[in-house]
Amino acid sequence: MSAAIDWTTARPLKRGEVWVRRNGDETAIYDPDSGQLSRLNPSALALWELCDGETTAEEMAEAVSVLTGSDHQAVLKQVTKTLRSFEEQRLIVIS
Amino acid sequence: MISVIVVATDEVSGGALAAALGASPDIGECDQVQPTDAEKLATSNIGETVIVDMAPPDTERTTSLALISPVLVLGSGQADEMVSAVEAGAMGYLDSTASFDQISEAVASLAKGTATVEPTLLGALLRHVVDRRRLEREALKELEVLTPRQEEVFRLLARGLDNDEVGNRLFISPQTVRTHTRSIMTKLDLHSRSDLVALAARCGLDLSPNLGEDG
Repeated sequence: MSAAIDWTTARPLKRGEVWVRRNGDETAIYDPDSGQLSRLNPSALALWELCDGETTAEEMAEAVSVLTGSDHQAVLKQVTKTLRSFEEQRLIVIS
Repeated sequence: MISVIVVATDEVSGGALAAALGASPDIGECDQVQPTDAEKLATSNIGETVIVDMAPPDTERTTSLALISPVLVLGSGQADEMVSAVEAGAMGYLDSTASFDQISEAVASLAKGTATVEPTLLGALLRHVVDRRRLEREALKELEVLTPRQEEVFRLLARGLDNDEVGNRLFISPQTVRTHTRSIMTKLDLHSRSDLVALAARCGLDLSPNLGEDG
């Protein structure tokens, strides 16, 4: 249940069963189990690529903050929102 | 109105890019220069200038130019090259095959202070930053053997201050600084000031001699 997940310390992992297709700046991820197709913009794709089962949302947000100079807490909020969305779309599992 | 300096060794492609960018309604003056002349021209155009560097990669040049104006590097699109450019101070990086419109948009973003990188390489860049921060945290753990005062001395020595300057900063005598320094070197198994600076760099500490108000 996503409500029980502490997203700042969770270590999300990309689901290996999905198919990834890139076309220019847009990436489509297809889940053969559910038949669902998800489209990711470059920023979302970058976060999804970081979902290796080791990297926390906190670390992801820190990296984005370092690169963009944006406020860490604001970035963390956006990162956890994106990860929640990934989980709802079954693009990641929480290890 | 933004002015742009295009750094290019190939005057044909550099000139073409300069002409195309110069035609953009948001961009005013746009000059093309050789890499060797870039710094001089950039220095004389400090203000709302963005440097577009399409010359062969040179991180030293990127660092020098980035101290003057925001730098957008146009490169091969390889993740390693982008990471090096961004680490050297580039505020933007695009594949050299990017369209004039993409380059023009990136120039406008940089002029507003917003970083722009190749979207498809963003993941690799974030991975690099995550890995580097992990290494820095590991290195910082080495400092846990120091007392708070020794860590203060460590940080100031890493910024190149001598014993007198450290003493003045911390309101302690140079002799006390020397005592702290000996303890630091022993505890961290360091053999020279350059070892100390190298460790501080691995920790991601600020090595700038400019202390500012909070330094």
